[in-house]
Amino acid sequence: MKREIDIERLIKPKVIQPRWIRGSVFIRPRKIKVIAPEKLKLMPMKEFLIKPPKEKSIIEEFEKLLREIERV
Amino acid sequence: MTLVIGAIAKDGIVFGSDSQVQFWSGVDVKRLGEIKIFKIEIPKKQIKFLVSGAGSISDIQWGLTSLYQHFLVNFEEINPNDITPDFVREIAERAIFILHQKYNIQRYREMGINIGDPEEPKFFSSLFLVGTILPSKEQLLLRILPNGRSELSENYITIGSGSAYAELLMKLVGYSKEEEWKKVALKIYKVIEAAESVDPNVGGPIHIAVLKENNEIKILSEDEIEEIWERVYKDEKRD
Repeated sequence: MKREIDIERLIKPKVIQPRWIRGSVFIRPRKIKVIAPEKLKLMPMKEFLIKPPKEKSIIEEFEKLLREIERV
Repeated sequence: MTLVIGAIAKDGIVFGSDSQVQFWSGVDVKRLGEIKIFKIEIPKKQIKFLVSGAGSISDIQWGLTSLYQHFLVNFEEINPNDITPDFVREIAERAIFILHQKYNIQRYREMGINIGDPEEPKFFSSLFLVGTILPSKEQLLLRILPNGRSELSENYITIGSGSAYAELLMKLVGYSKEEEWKKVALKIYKVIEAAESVDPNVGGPIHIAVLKENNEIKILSEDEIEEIWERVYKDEKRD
């Protein structure tokens, strides 16, 4: 008896995402949470500033200069 | 108009930038001493990012905001050890893509402009440079394009109008990612200094920021750069 072809199955093949592929772990990518653009709250630039290094005072600069002169 | 270089070092990630910005105020005006390297901190996960952008201040402010808020939301329920380079890259891409979607795609539709039209205006057109050291100690350096796609680098990335000079100069100074951050910082400093001498769009005091292996971020002062020059480089030459 001729076997009937399951057209439905041919059109919509059932795809199963394999968790294991030949012994190696198939890691499902983690879903990223996306914020709607209108829900973003604009933050001031100062929130992202890196604390600048402490600049030397004029006295420190002067002392450094004096030390240089003494050395010469 | 800018020049930013981000580079991987053996023991950290180094960013360097010029500090010249240009804006239209009826006439073209330039301003020096502007900071172009920023940080994003996610304290609970002990992860920090160095971020820089090339483009308008408004774009950069939105980019930083979107990156920060997306990192915060996505890292909320995650074990720090599960933060992979791919995951970070995907978040960063999405964070910039939604700005492209809002400022370019949606606006084009509102204005009846076809996407891909050569005359299409660019409302959001900034490039971003993101560097981080993951809890697994993996280093990650990304260039994110305005459309949200990204390019991963295993050594260094340059962005801005001075990039072409910087690309060549980085080769000439003999950059290597196997070197300590101090040497890489010095080389970046010298490259930006040289680019400033030929590119009118690159100028002002040079800023160098470092993200160290212990997750500490610092900006180097001119004195510290000078000290590295004296101690590291000149000593080596004497030997």
